[in-house]
Amino acid sequence: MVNLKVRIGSLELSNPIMSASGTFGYGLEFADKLDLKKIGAFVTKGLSLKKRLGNQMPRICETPAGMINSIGLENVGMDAFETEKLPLIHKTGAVVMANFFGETEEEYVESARRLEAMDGVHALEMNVSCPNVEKGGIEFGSDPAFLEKLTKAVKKVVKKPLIVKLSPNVADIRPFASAVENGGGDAISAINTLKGMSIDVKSRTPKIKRVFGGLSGPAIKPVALRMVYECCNTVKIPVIGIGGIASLNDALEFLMAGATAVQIGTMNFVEPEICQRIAGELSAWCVAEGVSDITTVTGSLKIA
Amino acid sequence: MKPKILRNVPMGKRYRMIDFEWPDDNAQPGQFVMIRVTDSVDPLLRRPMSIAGLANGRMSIVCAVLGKGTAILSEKSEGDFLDVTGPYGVGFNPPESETALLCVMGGVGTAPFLFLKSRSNKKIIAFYGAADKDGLGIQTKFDEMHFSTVDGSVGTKGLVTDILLAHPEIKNKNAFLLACGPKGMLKAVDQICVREKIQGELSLEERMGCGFGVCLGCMVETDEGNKRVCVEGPVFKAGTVKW
Repeated sequence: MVNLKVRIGSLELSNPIMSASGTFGYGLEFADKLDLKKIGAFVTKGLSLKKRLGNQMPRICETPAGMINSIGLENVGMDAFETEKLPLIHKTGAVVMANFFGETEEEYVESARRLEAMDGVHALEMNVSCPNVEKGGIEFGSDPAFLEKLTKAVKKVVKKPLIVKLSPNVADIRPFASAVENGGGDAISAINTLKGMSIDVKSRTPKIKRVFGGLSGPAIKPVALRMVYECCNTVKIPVIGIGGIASLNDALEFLMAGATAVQIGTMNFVEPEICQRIAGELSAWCVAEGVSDITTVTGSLKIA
Repeated sequence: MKPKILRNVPMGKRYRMIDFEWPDDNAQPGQFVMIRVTDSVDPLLRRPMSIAGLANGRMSIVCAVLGKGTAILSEKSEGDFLDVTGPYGVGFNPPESETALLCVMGGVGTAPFLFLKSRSNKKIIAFYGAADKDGLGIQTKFDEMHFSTVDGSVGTKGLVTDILLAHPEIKNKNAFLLACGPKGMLKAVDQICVREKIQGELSLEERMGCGFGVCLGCMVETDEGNKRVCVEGPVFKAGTVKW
């Protein structure tokens, strides 16, 4: 019997495979595509106090082994999430991590307070790293002192596990990982998308209306893995690895680099059942490798 | 589903018609499927393809080669396997009472009408426009066919909206119009519907990341707010889209 359980703060997950925010809607869109109880947790689309419409079209484009998005944090807002989505999500038996963001510290704190009060939200993931909005926390994600202060302020109003999702669009991610830890955050998730760009040569126009967007998908995996490894070597709190995971092998790389759990993002679009598939494959891999507890795989990278 | 390709044949000079196994009879004209053309991660995303036919365990799509993904798809052989999900979206829903349908199509936008023709006993008056002769890839005959090309190589020289406006049925307030094609064409057709007070439905095309409503990459602004082309569409009522 393999033990796949992992712990993120006070929350125990049945396995370390999760879906990433912005690629899994509110979970309900996947209810007929996989068994939500078979994945460690799912992370909601980023929520704000008020409903948001997001950026102008076009706001996605494909790139080699990846895609760029500039959705701009479109979401139904905290009220609709609580009254329309959450009761239905609850029926699926899924473990729910609510991703949230704000434009000011007060908005972050108020959002966190709301989510703390919602039964059926098991953990919070704070987005300080969306590259697609003028004010969507990115300023908090680009100054470690700000980030530590924000983490402290939010942590004050939540008892549920608080995960802080970091931006890769910084020269060195390690001070940010430390800022989360020093601010009392329960875990780090990394990485968000890499700022990128693509041009339609025929029309000489950017393929994304806002010119820049966030690059995701298998193309970013080596960069993500390096940054997750750096975070893991910097802090003692759990790190959730994200970035281009498309296979069991990819997930194992993040775990071996030190991640406690992983999130699968863009590949949910291509293969909606991928989280469940990889969770199953992980269990089989453990049996084949004689691994009885998945936590022994975390950080098992051997460097000569 | 991983259906086997049963046929891949040219349809005019620029398109391919690809048939593959499809055991369910579960789709409506105007709906689409998402096709993954490779097991590798490049190209990464599935391609949305309008359903061009579904009968006797066989689904058809019309593929125009626009980039790497559609190039790979067009080169698949009979016996190869595809990775197909769907059907997705909301299809055409013309009222029961109408007997004639004005169907305006551009380029690869014929696909849903081929399917519609196989499912409907209404008279279909087709207006088919393209840039040039090679852009017209149609083989199935509708009840009435009117062609336009921008270069004048086939049919009336000009835009498809020109031949639509020249048709007597456009003055029939009971006519029902359906359209599928490039955005510019749909916008022009939509304006005609509003101006002539004709009921109609437009099938929109947008870049899609997922096809089932989670990536939010294919939004369209309507008078009822932002809608996802893949879930609330691709078919929208004429006069509701904010272009």
